[in-house]
Amino acid sequence: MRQRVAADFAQARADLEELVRIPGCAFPGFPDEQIDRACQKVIDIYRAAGFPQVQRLDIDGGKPAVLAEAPGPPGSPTVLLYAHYDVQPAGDVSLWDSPPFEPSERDGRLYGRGAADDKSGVVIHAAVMRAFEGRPPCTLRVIVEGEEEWGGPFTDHPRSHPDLFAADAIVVADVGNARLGQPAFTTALRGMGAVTVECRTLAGAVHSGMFGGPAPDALMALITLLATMRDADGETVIEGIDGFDWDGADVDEADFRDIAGVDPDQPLIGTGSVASRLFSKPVVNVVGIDAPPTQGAVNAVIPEAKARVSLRVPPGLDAVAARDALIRHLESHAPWGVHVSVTPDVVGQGVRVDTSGPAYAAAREAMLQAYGTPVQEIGAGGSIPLVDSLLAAVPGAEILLFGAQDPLARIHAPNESVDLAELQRAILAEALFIRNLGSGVL
Amino acid sequence: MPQVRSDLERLVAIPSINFPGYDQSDVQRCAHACAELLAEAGAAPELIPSSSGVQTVRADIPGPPGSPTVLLYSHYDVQPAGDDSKWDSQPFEAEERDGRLYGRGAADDKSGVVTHIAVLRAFDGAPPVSLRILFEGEEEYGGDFEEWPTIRPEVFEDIDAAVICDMGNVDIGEPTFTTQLRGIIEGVVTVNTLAEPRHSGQFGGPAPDALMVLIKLLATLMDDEGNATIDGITGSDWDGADFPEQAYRELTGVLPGVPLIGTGSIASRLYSKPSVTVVGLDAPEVATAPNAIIPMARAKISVRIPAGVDAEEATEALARHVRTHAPFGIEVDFEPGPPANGSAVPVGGPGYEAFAAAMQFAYGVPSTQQGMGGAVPFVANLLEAFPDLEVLGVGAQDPLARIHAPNESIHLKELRDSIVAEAVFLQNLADSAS
Repeated sequence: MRQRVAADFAQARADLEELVRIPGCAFPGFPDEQIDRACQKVIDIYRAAGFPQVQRLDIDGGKPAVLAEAPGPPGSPTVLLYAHYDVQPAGDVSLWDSPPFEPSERDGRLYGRGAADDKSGVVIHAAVMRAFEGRPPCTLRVIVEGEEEWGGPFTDHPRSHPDLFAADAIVVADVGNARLGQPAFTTALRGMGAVTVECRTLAGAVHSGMFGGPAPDALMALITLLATMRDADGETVIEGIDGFDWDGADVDEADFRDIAGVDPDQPLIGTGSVASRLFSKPVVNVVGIDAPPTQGAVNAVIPEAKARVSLRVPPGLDAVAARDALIRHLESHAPWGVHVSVTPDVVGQGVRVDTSGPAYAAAREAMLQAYGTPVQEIGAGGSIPLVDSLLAAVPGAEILLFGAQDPLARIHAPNESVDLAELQRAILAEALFIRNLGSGVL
Repeated sequence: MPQVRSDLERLVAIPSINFPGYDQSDVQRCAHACAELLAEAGAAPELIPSSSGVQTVRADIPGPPGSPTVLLYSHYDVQPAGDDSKWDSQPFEAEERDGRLYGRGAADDKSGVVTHIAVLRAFDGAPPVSLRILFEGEEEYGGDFEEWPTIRPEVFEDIDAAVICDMGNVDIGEPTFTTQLRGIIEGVVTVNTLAEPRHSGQFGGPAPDALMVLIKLLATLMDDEGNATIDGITGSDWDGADFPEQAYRELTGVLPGVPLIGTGSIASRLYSKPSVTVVGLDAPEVATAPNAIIPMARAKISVRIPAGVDAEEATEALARHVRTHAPFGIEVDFEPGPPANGSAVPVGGPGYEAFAAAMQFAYGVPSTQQGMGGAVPFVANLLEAFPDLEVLGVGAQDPLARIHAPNESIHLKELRDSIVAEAVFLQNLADSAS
């Protein structure tokens, strides 16, 4: 298997390069034509990989997905393989060292928007099919979504079409290892919630010299309120949102600092292990504030101010309840008797994955075989709404999250890339997992 | 009055914003316009450039031999307009509504410029006392001019009284001397923690978010009651008349149901205690904010300090506070702004009495005194260099003038009365001197 995957890898890379060249972005304002082209390219790749049935799956009010199926031997387990072909916008092209939609290899990494997130997942599934030369030991069903980054209606598709997603095991190839060559299952995803908090105190701005003092400044009130969300150590302290200590692998502090780009002179914040702070404790951040900029700021008491607050919810906690707890906190901690209004915004449920089933046993063994080292369990700070939806729609399935997006992949940022050796290992791991699961020996 | 109004409209049309990033040629243009208006009124003005090239307009108009010399001060530079969308008319096109003329600088302090010019015209260019008119262009941002009392003392040595026409009355029609001015200090605090923004899902938690650091820090500037709490900057109780709470609420536009903050009398909080505001903050906009950990955040802190508090020491106290209160062991940068001392002016001298009588005449009611929240660094330096000089803080900037805010305006009748008061004052002073 190792040799077959190695021999086929040039094809996997060629598939990936062709996909990267198509800027298929599902965000409003981006052309549907590119989405259609990307969708057709996925169909072509899966047909060429030997899937006997490949079809475009139109999603009501959303972007098309691709469904590819290959039957396994009678009685073999069914494995659903998920990835998405849509990408984030490239952002500021001047920040890229090579054009975002022209694949470019440097130091063993292939650069380009989507090279990691998640066109790497798309080509992994195709390469696995080729590795079995058209005769997989399990029934394979691949679903490749076209609107993951945007968050379209596909997220609810499993709930409305549970039969389509019915499987014994589901592989979500849209994550990665904590470091290159060290295999990992992502077994916890934080949920998220967001709110907008607004404070109005005066009818208009007034001169701070003439009026400053008794007049409650809306920005100062908002700042004082927002400061109550964190304690002196930087821990998020909101009644009703409790985290827990992460019992999987820790995250190396030096690695984290490096990947996060933390200024060498500045400390990390919070308490507990880095992994706990990243995966299993709540975190609240202020991601935006509307206030006059410092440049050109006039000496005025500010009449109104607004902030967007983003909450990461510990996996296992209901994200709606957590967001409501945040709203209660903001409504009850405004200083000086000032009132604020809080508008709830999106939530995404977090996930804790059960890793005790047979698919996990097969995958654990596959990881050891592919990487030569035992697999870790890690969390992911960000939510993947589809995972929650899959868990609800297919309650009996084991869900496995792994892939080739290592922390240096810079997904969503300029200079996104995938490590080519890591991509090859991920293909091998997925192929071995399907072989192990199909052989039923584990 | 039509001429006064046309002068003011002409000046408002020039966006003389002497701040970095704004077109300096507008500032020059405004200086020239002031000089032309003075020349038309019979003076022979000169333009004196500062080290940064901003021109001070000076005109000496001799009075009868032996008459006192009076300094007439105002400034022609203005604050930036801020958010244009919050103005009901164009900030640099004067527009009249309900007896008020709207536009940036219409009150602060182009009203002062046109007042002095109108007074000169009222005497047909031959005033009963000697005048020294100074229009500076560096008041709002700071510059050389405020140092003139020490670097060019000869400009002030022969002055008997100084009219600082950059103030206003407690209310329209209630003539008022401003006798105490708060000082002001400021500084910009910058927090740098990451090389660039990071996805808050992937990195949120251990990664020090610069905006969160800044928020925690800024929140330490006030206590639970809303008093400024900067170690080393203290205030006192105001022993003059209090400012009625209801009037304050109305003038300031405090929304119904919103409490006032701080402790002590309103006047204490306005004139004799420190007050702190964050006047600017750099962060992503709410509408388009991505879920990102923020690598750099910055805020401009402005603190009003009572007269008597040394502004340089207070700036050091603010810097200390910022450094020692930065949370989570994070290091922050603090860039101090220019310090401006507050001042308390001597009252009751002959100039004061002459102006008080002129106010009685012009407004028909006796004058009162008030403190002022704002700083005028030039006045502080003038008093420091010439402690016995009679400094008369007057003007037409009533509390509804919304100076430094959108929809700044001047009340035209109030402007007229303040011109009459200044003209009568010069005559009174000449009469009492002779």
